[in-house]
Amino acid sequence: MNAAFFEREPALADRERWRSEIAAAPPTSDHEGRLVLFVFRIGGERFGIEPAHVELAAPLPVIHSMPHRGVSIAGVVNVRGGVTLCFSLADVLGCAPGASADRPMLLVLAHGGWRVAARVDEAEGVSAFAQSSLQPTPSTLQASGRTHVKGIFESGDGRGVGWLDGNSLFGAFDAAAR
Amino acid sequence: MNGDLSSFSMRELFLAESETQCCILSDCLVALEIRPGDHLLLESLMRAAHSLKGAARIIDLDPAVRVAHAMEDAFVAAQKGEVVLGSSAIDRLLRGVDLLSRLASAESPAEMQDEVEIFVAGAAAPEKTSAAPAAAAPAAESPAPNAKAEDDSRSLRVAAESLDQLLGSAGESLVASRRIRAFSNDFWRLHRHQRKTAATLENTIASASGGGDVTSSLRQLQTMIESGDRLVLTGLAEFERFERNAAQLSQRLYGQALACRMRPFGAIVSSLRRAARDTARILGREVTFEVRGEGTDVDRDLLDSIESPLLHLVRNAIDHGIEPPQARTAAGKPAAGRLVIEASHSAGFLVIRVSDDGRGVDPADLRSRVVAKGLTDAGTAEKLAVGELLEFLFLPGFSLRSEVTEISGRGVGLDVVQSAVRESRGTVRISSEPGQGTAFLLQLPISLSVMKALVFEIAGEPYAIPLARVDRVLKVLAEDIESIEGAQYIHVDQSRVGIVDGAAVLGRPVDRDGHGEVNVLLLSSADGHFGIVVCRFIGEGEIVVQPLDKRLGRVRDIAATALTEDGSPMLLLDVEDFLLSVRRLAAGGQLHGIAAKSGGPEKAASQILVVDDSLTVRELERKLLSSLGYAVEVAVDGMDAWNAVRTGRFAVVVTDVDMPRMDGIELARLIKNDARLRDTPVIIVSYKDREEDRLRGLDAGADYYLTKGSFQDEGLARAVADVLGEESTP
Repeated sequence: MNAAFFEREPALADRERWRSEIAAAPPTSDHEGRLVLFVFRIGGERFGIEPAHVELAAPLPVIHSMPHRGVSIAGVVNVRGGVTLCFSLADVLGCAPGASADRPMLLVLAHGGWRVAARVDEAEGVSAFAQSSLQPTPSTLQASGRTHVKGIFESGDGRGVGWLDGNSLFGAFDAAAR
Repeated sequence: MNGDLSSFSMRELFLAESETQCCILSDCLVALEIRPGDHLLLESLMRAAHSLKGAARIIDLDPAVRVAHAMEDAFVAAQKGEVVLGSSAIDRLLRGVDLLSRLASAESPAEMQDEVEIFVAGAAAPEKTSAAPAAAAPAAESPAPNAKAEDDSRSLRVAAESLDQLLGSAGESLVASRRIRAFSNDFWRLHRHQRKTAATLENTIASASGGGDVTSSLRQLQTMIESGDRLVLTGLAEFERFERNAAQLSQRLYGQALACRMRPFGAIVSSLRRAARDTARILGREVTFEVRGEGTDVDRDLLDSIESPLLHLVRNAIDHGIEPPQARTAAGKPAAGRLVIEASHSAGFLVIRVSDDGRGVDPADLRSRVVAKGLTDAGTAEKLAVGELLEFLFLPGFSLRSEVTEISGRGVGLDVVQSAVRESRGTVRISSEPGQGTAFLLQLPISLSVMKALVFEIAGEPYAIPLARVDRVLKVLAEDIESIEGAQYIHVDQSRVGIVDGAAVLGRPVDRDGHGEVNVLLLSSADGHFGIVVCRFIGEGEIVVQPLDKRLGRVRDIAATALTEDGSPMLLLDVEDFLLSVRRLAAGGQLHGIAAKSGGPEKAASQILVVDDSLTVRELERKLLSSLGYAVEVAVDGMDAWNAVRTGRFAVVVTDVDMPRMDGIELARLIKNDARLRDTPVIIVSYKDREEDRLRGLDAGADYYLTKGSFQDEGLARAVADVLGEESTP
């Protein structure tokens, strides 16, 4: 490879193509039309969120607590040199935290230009779900009006995965921050 | 590339160039007035006008070409001795400079065609200058301020030297990173050597168990282990050298990147000098303008935001401070007044002093004005100390002079200066000696993003505090802590200093066991010293301040965040806020949010929060409302109040407008925008009695806007009763 290759201005067509490729949202469904979700676990509950919202999943770093603030704010963490607000997802989603997690992870989630971090008990990674297997959330949850779950998928091992609604979840983060 | 885009960037280049050239033009013109006909100055002027003309031609900005051309002609004529550029000619040429800089940033320069024609016509007849008064020129008096783009994509001008240094270091860093490869080679070599040694060892064991002589094999092994050790040592020495260099390099890179944010204070001097010259000329004053510390580094954003308050202080000093020449001579002073601006770094702050040797402020005169304006009654005014009295000068609409001059007619007062300085996290103080002069002292952070801080641990987590705010750090034995009525204190230099546990202030678990040594941080505020107990001191250093997530709103006691040396997050304490919390704790646990006296008789009464930064007003309001049977709590500024209001315990909030850190308007807005607190009535009580102030308060959502005279006529009592829905006042 020669240096001149890198110094050359890329062709306009290439640049246009790159721009549109970068700007496009990552695919949320695979070639079979199944929905792709990033799955994680908090206590005994499993959730999935569109991979477009997940910027980073990393081993849990030091979290600095935030004085005078409620339990939904876990504190602040260092995400690639930027101090980022970290939420307790267990509290925001209203689920019981696990007694102890073997591999606690930090998820960095982004939506509409806002980036936050959240602690989860385990990050399982990306899985695909058939749209046909989507079931509605239990009516008790719907009645409470607090749910951020659009529906429930059944994963391979027969356990449910709650499909999180990005808008609603970030709305909950926003409310918890104030 | 897109045609629009390219012309846009050329326009930006022109804007940058015009800034530079206009600065030169303006500086040299002001200097030319003092040294008429100076050839070097004329030469620079001519060159600047010429360059600007060329640049304007490139981007087809014809009006600018014509203005620059006319100016160039005037300078050439002066060089040839055909004309002499007197004060009025310089006035006109300076207006030309303004015109040029407005043309450079104007959205539609064509609309300014008329002004251009008038200027060009005037400039072409320089010999008639003395006959043409300043009024003949169009109202170019207040050049439209360049709307400074707030977004991050704005372009910045960085000294070429700074950028070159930064690039140099970045290149070095690139080379250094390639050297890491060599270390991995070393490790592989060492690994192979270890394997070989292991194999030899295995052979030796085999032959030893066979009963053979292994002495020579053992010797060989010994040599191998020694050479392996040498490999490790050489690699280690190399690695340590690399580590040292890398650390130095990173430090340098960081410093250079930071330097790109800095500009010398001198960058805004030319506009200040120009303002001084123009103001003095309009008002018929003689002024020597002196600047010290032009090389002082200032964060570029900060520099932008302090330029206009400084301009105002300069005009103010000449308008209100420096007397007309005859009056000065009569008072035994030199006819020309002195206006000095000094910038320096002091104790981690940028300190700017604007002083004049003018008439100063007469306390008696000021006192009678304060009373005449109805801001306070004569009795109170008598009791005010000079310092307190001078604070009134920062009220809107408060001017020292009764005549409206062209300068003070701008409709801005010192209140603008104060709010601009506060916005940059600074303070402004005024001192004055009647007959001797007035001085304004601005204290500002050097950079909005970097500060020297002391880092320590509270409840096992790192916190930082600006170093400038730390008096001392000390270790005391737990046995030396005494207590009086439940409040703990220590002896420092013969005086008792109250101490509180930092963890308790921040609401973190207190983990002190009461034995051994205790680390104490000494802080001071206006009303005394406080000792804060912390887990341990980590050290001091420069930290890069990062703001808290905006959606978090304000967090009590916390100003911002930063990273420790090992990359862990830490919180930067808000010293004012923190001291307030400390004061409450030290005073015996009257902490907001702690349900003291719950179930007591006061529960029945409506809770009112009184917010004012003046102790006098606060106490007056507290007494008035307490006497009416309300339970009253106080807060000393908007932020303090907001922290208290958030607990949701207050039925009414009574607040002042002008307060440090957060003003009453912002407080009202926060309350009214909060779903939970929206229904809490807010009553504003302010000295500001202009209609626009009232509207500003009501716009923010305040339920009442009262002026401070209302104490006398029971307006406040009525307003409180009204918002509480009580039928009649007690």
